[in-house]
Amino acid sequence: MNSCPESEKIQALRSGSLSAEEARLMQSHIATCPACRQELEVETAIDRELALDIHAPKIEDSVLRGLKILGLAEAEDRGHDFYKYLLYAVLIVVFGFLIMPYLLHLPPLRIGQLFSPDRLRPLFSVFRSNLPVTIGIGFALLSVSLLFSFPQLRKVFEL
Amino acid sequence: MDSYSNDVATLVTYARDGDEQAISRLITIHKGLIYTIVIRMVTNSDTARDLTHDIFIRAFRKIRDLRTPGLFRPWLCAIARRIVLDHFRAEKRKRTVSLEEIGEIGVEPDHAAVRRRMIIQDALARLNPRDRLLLVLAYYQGFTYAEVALTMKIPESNVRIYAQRARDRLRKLLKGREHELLS
Repeated sequence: MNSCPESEKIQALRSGSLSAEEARLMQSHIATCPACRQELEVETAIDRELALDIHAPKIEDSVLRGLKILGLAEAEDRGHDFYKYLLYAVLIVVFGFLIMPYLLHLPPLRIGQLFSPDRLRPLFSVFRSNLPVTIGIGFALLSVSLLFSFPQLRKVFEL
Repeated sequence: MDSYSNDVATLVTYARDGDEQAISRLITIHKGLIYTIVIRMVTNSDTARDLTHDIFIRAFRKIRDLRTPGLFRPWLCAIARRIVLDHFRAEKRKRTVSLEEIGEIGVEPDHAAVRRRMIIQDALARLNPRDRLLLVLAYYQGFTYAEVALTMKIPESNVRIYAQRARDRLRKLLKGREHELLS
């Protein structure tokens, strides 16, 4: 940051990443180099300012008053989430299975035909003949459901 | 877990049940940190006070979502980050820093300290909000890299390097003002 090439090492000296010998050499250089001494003083001034704990005003009472008015827990509102997700599910079914096929002029969907034994039999035989794959799929589904039970991830999807 | 985390975890447990003393104590412990973060971001002390108030209200209304009470501090800082960024989006205007405003945030009454603060705060204001928040957290007393990582939602292994880059950008913005800083 200044004309002296050694000034590059000032950051390393401050962060303690120089070896003991390098640090000693750098300190003796700083003692004789006005440019590096100034750089070190600037860096120290910035550090001091950044580490300053700014005195906060008294807000405890006003927060408590606010909480009394609004109520403590937003979590109580979570009861509405069930109805929200139910609404989403209904909308998906209505749009995805009824309105969209109608708009796209697709033949009407017969749910019974979709899950008829004739259609499902080959699927089951595939699972029976590939047991390791089936177990693998089962574990993958289990892992996904466990992942979803982590609050952080769940929160991301809920948002 | 250290004694700070243990104490805070106990207070959080009481605060979840609406214990006003626990809530008040948690505010007293953390308001310095939150106010420091907010005022570094927005500069104006009235706005900072209002936002700090909103952050604590939001936090205590959502406190039942906090699964690990020992992680209250980074969780609170993440809420602060979100509220401050929302504030920026709502404001969407260029902020200017006045000497009067900087004078309000200081603790030292002498003019040189206020001037120094103004110079650094002005440079901070020209950094992007992410760098600014990272610097405030990384240099805040007792704040660990793990907590910075949780607050900023970045890997812990990257905190040091990101903070260093932000610090270098701040230093560049202060280029040419060294004599003012040291006067």
